[in-house]
Amino acid sequence: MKKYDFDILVVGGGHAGLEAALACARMGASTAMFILNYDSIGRMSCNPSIGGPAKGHLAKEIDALGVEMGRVADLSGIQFRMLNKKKGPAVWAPRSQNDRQIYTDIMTKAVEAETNLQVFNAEVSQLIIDDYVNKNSDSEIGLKPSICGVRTKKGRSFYAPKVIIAGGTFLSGVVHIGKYSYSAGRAEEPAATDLSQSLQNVGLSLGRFKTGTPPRIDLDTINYNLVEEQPGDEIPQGFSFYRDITLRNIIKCYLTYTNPLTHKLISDNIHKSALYSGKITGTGPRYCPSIEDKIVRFSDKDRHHIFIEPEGIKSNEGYVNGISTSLPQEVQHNILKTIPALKDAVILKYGYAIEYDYVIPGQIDPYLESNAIRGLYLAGQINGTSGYEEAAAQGLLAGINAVLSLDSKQPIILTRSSSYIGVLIDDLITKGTDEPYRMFTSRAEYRLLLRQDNADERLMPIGYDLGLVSEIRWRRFRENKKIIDEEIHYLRNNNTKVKSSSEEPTRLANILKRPKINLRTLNEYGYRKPNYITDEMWDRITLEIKYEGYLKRQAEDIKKFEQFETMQLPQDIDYRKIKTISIEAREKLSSNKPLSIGQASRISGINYTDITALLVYLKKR
Amino acid sequence: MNHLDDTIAAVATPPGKGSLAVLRISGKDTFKIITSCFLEIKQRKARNNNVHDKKDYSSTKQLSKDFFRESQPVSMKNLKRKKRFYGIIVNHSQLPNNHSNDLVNAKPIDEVVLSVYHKPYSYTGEDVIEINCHCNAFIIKNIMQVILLNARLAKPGEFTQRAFLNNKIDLTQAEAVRDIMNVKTVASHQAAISQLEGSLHEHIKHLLDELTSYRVEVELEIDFNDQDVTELDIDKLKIKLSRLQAKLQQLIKSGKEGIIIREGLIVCLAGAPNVGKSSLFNSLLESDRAIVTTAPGTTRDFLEESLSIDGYLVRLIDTAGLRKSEEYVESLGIGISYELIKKADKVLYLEDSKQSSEEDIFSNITDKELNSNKFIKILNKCDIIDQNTQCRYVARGFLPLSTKTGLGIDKLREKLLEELTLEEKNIDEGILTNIRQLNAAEKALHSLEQALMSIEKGMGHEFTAFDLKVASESLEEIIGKVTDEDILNKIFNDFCIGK
Repeated sequence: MKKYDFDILVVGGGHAGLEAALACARMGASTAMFILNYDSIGRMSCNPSIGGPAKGHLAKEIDALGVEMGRVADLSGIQFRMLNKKKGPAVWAPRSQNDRQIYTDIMTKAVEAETNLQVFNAEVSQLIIDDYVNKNSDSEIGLKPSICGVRTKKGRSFYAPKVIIAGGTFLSGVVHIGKYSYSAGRAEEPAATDLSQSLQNVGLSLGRFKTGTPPRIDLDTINYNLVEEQPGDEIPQGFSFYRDITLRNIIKCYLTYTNPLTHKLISDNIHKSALYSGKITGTGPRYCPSIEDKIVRFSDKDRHHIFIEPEGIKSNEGYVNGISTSLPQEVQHNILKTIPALKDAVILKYGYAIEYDYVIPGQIDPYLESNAIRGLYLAGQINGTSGYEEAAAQGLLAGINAVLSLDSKQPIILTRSSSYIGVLIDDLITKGTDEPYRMFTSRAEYRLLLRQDNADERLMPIGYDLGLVSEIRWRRFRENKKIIDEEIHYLRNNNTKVKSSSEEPTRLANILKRPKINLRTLNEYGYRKPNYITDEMWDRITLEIKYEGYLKRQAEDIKKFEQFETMQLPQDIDYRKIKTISIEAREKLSSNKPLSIGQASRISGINYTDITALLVYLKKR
Repeated sequence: MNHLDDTIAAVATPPGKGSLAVLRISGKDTFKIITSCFLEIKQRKARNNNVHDKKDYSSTKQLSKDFFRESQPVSMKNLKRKKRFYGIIVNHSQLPNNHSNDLVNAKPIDEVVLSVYHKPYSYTGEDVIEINCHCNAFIIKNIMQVILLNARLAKPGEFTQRAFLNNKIDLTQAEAVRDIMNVKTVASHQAAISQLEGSLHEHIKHLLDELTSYRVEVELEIDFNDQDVTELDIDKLKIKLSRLQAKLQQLIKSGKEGIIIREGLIVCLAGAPNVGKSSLFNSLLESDRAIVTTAPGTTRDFLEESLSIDGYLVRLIDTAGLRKSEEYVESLGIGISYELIKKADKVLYLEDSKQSSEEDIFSNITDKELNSNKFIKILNKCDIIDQNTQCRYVARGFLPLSTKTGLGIDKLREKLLEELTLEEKNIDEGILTNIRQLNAAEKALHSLEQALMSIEKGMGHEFTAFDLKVASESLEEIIGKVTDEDILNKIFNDFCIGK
């Protein structure tokens, strides 16, 4: 009888695979990570940036739970901006430009520092299911087959009770430029060609998505007189909590525009685009359209933004954000020629579209474990999402739950009311997605409470309990929270100093609630902010007081919501036998196997009467 | 999705005419709600203690001061002592604070009998109170309004849903529930086909689409503000929201009119004694079919009858003559007349030429009110009044009439009919036909007002978005759901998003 080689195998070393492998190793599991190219650990294959609305929230949540994305984004950050700063205090969103190489380097170091984590430079081509495992030692499994390892393309087998697949865009990836296409998982990197088949063989159904990137240009060949500068914030704010990382704005981004000439050129050559010649069948994301799409769908616009984002401090490469394209190389050249600032720009890498396989979501449970195969977890782009942050969030959760399951502990679910991570996973399993799924703040019902500033409060206790948050950070979190709570208490319970006889003394908090009152004006009412309260703490205090009414209403909503989340659905229900539920609902429930009434109620196609009938059925049991 | 631990209430008896109606409240706050709006009547001299013996509801409106002295609030503890309570439901919502000692000063709505069921010994398995009140749309509406201050209107089948969740119904019954609920859905489907509801649906859908487009603007600003989209002009949004607000207000107004049509226009006769109110009362009734028998007030100081004008329901109330009186009983009656005038949808104010001046009579009613739409001013006894005097009155907006000869009665009937006929426009847009819809529209309006307030205070787009979402959810209660996915779809289709 052969022994397991590892506790957990992670296939893929991108943003999902990395966070998964690091979480597993740090929680004490002996972990192996498989990557096609060792040099591309944690590579940013799209634009060199982390964050933005909802995505910045995800990055901060990952940091609060104790893994790497937020920390490395801060360390490799070369420009920081807080979006929405002027508009919505509850939806501020941090965003950074990052040095692509430094990001990879730091991630690689983090991986190398983990004693529990071993990296293999190999292509995994096959899943190994069941028959190998000693059935006697695991007799309660029942009918569900289990994973027990993977086989590499070169024929080596690795055995482990848990396998996390985080294959990104590499599953049967095909790159398209004009009429040329070739098998690749990313420009110049080989695709994983056999794994898709293996996933299908074990019963998973796959879909096909596409995405794309713009060309990269030599920054020395831009006419800087013709672009608008985009500097970072005066006071940079990043993603990580309690880590004392000094943030610096080193570079500027640049803005220029397409023009009618550009549009005409693209229209004239549209038939050469891989997208429009019928070569590409996969669905692309509407929020990230190619320049071809923009011209065709929004023909009335006479210009589109082009952001030029430097890829790093030592690099000459600039990412030309806004003109993602699959047009032939010579057309890409000509496009740049129509734009005055980029007239002489030299293309270092051409833009391309890529098609890849994903596993249609709905085949996994809230723990990201496959419904069909025990021990098989899926995380990241393979679940139909797009974006580094979305991938990392899933990797983290899959890693955590694989370890918990390994240790026979109850796996965790982050609810929609706790985090964007929770919204992301719940959306995937209950609603599915017709295009690469990206997180938006409007997807979160409890947006006012799921803020970037309180991600620590929402998630650090969970990260700490899991052993992912260090004692030092935990202590600082507690101290920080205590100060904030005490100051809010003080403001709510102490009166203003009367400055004129016409005004009655009133609670400081009530003054702060008034429109346009800030720290400076509050000083006039006799309030002195203690020195140990930082600007960030003060922002938080202000928000909690000023918007108290809204926050309370939202908290009420959450209470009602959680009532249904805690009503568990037994996993052995045979929905097909519940005659009082509509046939559509029976099918959806059978394939989705929701864990709670709340989750069931969100599955598309399930309505109020179905849920009521389900409640009746449960009572009957 | 409904919540399982809040308190729900609904009218349990079928709508329509009857002598009694039952309102049911179920949930954890049931007893609390009752203690805040119920006065128990302990002993009553010379009156029958059984509310069921009386046929009219009007007697509660002239409860004497002594009567009040005999009534007192019940405590939660007291509610546990017995199963039936007799007393009055009062409207406590206008009291300065909700202290139970003040309840005796609150406005009475109806005499009722309460049946109290303690959990789990009730239909739903929760604390339940059934209020047996008089079956009158006006009373039912008022009581429901008081209860709904602290409870939620139950959805169809919800009491039953709770019943089986709490193991109160056996298996066969439970399995029938889905069928029952389906029948209800079918029934409401059929109703939706009717022209009025159909156009209502259309109209609200338009409002909702409009609201959705504003939500899209705000969401766009939050999620895509670093992108190539035009910045949100918050002042313009404010104007657009105000316009939507006006449309909602109009919908609610016509809805209230619609409910009047279903429940009857309350028309009150008022004026000095012997001016001919009762004659007019009889004249109107004689020529029109009376559909309910005369119902005298207990103290005989007002009468109500229902009649139908061209098929529309009118509830005609004859009141005591208005004058200053030193006599206690009469002054009480006059007090009630003022109350009735206030509550009525329409007041027929009568004078004859012998009348000295309006101010004398209507000391409690301002000139402004008297000249408002609510009052129809009538000069009676035209058969014996000279032409000149008549002309003077007509110039002041009076309708000349004679109950003796029947002159002007038809004219008056026409005027009332005008009130009852909806504007063409309203029929095109549809009207809210029940309290549930009206509630939802009012909630939507409230949230919209909050959204405007949040803009006013410069609170940040996400808060405005929050209020707009709540407003949207209220309208969705009437016509169906808008999901977050719908919002994003609209953003992706209408705006060029993405770098």
